[in-house]
Amino acid sequence: MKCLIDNIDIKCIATCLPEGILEMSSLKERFGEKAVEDTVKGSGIERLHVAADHETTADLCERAANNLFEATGFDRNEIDGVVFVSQTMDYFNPATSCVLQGKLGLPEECVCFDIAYGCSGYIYGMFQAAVLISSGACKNVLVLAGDTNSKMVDKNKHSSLMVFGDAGSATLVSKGENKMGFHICSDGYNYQTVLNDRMGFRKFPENTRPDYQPDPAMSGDDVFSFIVNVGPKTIKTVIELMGWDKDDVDFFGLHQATKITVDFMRKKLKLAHPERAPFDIQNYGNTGPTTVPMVLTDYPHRAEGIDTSSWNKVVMAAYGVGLSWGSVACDLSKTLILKPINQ
Amino acid sequence: MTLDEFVKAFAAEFDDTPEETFKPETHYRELDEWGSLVALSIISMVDDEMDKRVTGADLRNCTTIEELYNLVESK
Repeated sequence: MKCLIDNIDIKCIATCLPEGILEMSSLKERFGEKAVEDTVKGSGIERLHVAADHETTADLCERAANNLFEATGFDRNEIDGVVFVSQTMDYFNPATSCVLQGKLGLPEECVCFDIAYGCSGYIYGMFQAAVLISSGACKNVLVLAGDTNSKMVDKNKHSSLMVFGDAGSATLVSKGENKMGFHICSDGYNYQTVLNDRMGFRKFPENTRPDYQPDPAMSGDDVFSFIVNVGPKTIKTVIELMGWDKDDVDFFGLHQATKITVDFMRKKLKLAHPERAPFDIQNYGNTGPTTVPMVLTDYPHRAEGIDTSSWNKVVMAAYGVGLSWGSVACDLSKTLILKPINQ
Repeated sequence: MTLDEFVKAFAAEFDDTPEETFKPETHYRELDEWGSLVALSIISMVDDEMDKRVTGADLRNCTTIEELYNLVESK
């Protein structure tokens, strides 16, 4: 599916990392020096931000949203849509978007729903917000995307423990003047590639027992094959849809599974300005649906000489569980991009 | 795609290794430049040029470029 949607502005992007930090170097005693060093070399991740037991994805998104309202001065009463994108919701029910609507003091005249996607989720959240506005249903939609992956990973496996971190985000999408391009695809034929059956009802009641052995999650090779096969194509598709040239794109906010996958995208796309598609997760890890907004907020506040008012042409792309993937093209030159909390 | 064309396309994914290094019988995993990034590039090239999917395990299980070509052709 691909489409152009007119008259949408992204007014502000805010993110929040938890305070807790896990240094990869601290794991050498537990997993062995070589295993840790090899994993860091491939992933590029040196530390993760990790939520406390009592700290949920919704908490991190709430902090990001409050920061957004304070920084923009935007009236909360003008919000008429909330989209929460996460696989680590507060409850099975009610929807976490409803819980957050209350906690954030948003009006009752507000449509709220959850989207249960992982790494590709930000693309879905932005698409949903744009469609709600384009249809005339909403004027100002808050997209709250995040995950506390550290609570789902197998802590005995260094390969997953050392990659997935926690974060939350808030993005204000409003009726405006700019055009957005979207390309979104699904491959449910291969849904087992990334699978968590420890919750849900397909394996009920076996999966409620303490000794339940889940289906093996994440076949690393299959995930890499998937990313390299779909990533460059969706990026090229959305650039073509917008009528842009890849070398005119001011910034690529790419999903960051590991350093190698980002290096691969840069190589494959043969970018004249590879520095515009940075690897950025060395200090916080793969944060699922938050990775794209984290790159968009962390990089300009960390690297020197980045002026986001020049981001007239921005491409975001993400790929993950579903399998699902997609890309967004938009203008962020007038977007307020806030420094991540606990950067 | 013929075997010769596959060898050329395979070689094109390497930045620093001279093209004449690549023959059907080349043990590609022994090349200095071989690594995760090149492996991803080969997976992508096979998808683009031949519309077939190979995995990291396929690349590890083959020794020569010709063996890999035959595996891809059999898919």
